Formats: sequence, structure tokens, C-alpha cells
Amino acid sequence: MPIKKELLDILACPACRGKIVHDDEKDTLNCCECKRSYPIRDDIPVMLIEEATMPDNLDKP
Amino acid sequence: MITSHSIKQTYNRFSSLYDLIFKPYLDFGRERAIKQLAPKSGARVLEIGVGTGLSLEYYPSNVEVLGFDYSYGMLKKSKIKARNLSHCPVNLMQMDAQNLAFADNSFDYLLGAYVLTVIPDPDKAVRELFRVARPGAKVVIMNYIRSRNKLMGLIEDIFHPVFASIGLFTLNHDLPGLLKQHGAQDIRIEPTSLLNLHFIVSFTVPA
Repeated sequence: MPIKKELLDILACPACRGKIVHDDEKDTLNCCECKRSYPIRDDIPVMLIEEATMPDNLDKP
Repeated sequence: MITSHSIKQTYNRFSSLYDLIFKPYLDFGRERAIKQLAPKSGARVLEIGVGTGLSLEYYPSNVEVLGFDYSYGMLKKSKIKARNLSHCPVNLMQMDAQNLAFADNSFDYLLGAYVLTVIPDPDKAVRELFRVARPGAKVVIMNYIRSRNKLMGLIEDIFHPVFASIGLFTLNHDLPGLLKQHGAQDIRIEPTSLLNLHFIVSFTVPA
């Protein structure tokens, strides 16, 4: 789902308050700071720290 | 003990029954709460704990609502109401009121209906609410407030552990006191339900 830019602008990582960007390829919402990746399920962004994943090359939070 | 996990489990299991049981009781006052919030045309309203979307039909068509809930089961119900009953655009997200996924100073209007009583750490949730609200933002919270009537207070104290143990909600909060601690201004409290158990609390975030 394309997330509207105005919504992306006010989103922040719930773990570190970093800026959030949309990964168009994976359709996830990613934190630019801590690199956590938040899933989107049925068009609903899941902005829960416990549901976030870290990239493979980094340790799990 | 009410925990995030117990809340998520209970409300996910409960989402289909929630409207049936609570709509007649908790629907009451939502329209009035939104009228009190009085969001101006073009405003974005943050609804904290949007639940099954019982408030969505009462927002005017000239605003946009961003609603979040901790329970995915409840959000799925909200999604249907957003499509079928709402007059304004609605965006839904899954979020924890204790760790909001918003930048500071993001909202001018915030509404929370029967939500603060189901959050394990209401103090943290109120702090987060003040963080994402812009200075001067208007907030309306519908909530249970512990009865000042001695008998009702006693009955509530007896039932509180029962409700809390099934993860449904907790009752023992001094909401106005908590809001004052965080610097809420122009606090107004008015009863909504017949037994004077539920109140609409409105206030302004300090400028």
C-alpha cells in the first residue's frame, strides 16, 4: 500500500524516534536510525517494537 | 495483573463480541465527545485506541482520522467501519499507546475513548500523548473515573481485580490528577453514562 507522504512525515520509530521511510520493494516501514523494519499487514502498518525485525547483519534488538 | 500481552490476547479474542456487548453502553457520548473536540476543517485527528471503530461514524466529513489500536483483531473491525460508516478519510495503524510511533508535536486534536483504563502504564501513555500533541492541542478523553460515591467506590474496588485478572480493564486510576501532573490546562469533566461512571474529560495541552 502506498503510504501517504504526510503520514510518513509524522511517523517516528517507536523504539528510537528515528525517521521512518517506506521500503517500496518489501512494503515495510523502516527506521533510518536503528534499522528496525516494521511490517504492513492488510494495509495496516504494525508499528510495534516487538513485531519489528532487524536486518540479518545486525543483532536482534 | 494487566499486561500488554493479556490485553492483546483478550481483545483479539473478544473483537467480534465487543460491539455487541459494549456498543449500547459505550457508544453513548462518543458523538458528544467529538462535538466537544470540534476539529476544524482539514484537521487530522489522532484517535488513541480506535478499537472496533465505534467513533468513526461521528467524525465530520471535513477532517481526517488517524486511528491506532494495540489489538489487530479490533483494527480489522475498524477497517470495515472505516469503509462502510465513516464520512471522512480514515488511516489505521497498530501501535502501543506507551510507545507512540509519531514525531513530537504532530497533532492538534486527539481523542481517546475508554482506553486509558486498559493501558498497563497510564502515566507513560499520558506522557506520550503530550509529546505527540502540538502545544495548544485539544484533547478529549472518555473514561471511567472512580466513583466519589462511597458505596459505588466500594463495589468498584471489589470488582476491579476480577476485570483486571481477565485483562479487560483496570479501574483504579485518578485520571484528572494524572492529567494535572502533566500540566493539562482548562480541564473540563462531564458525566456521560446513566450511572455517572463514565466521563468526557477535555483539556488543552500547554502552549
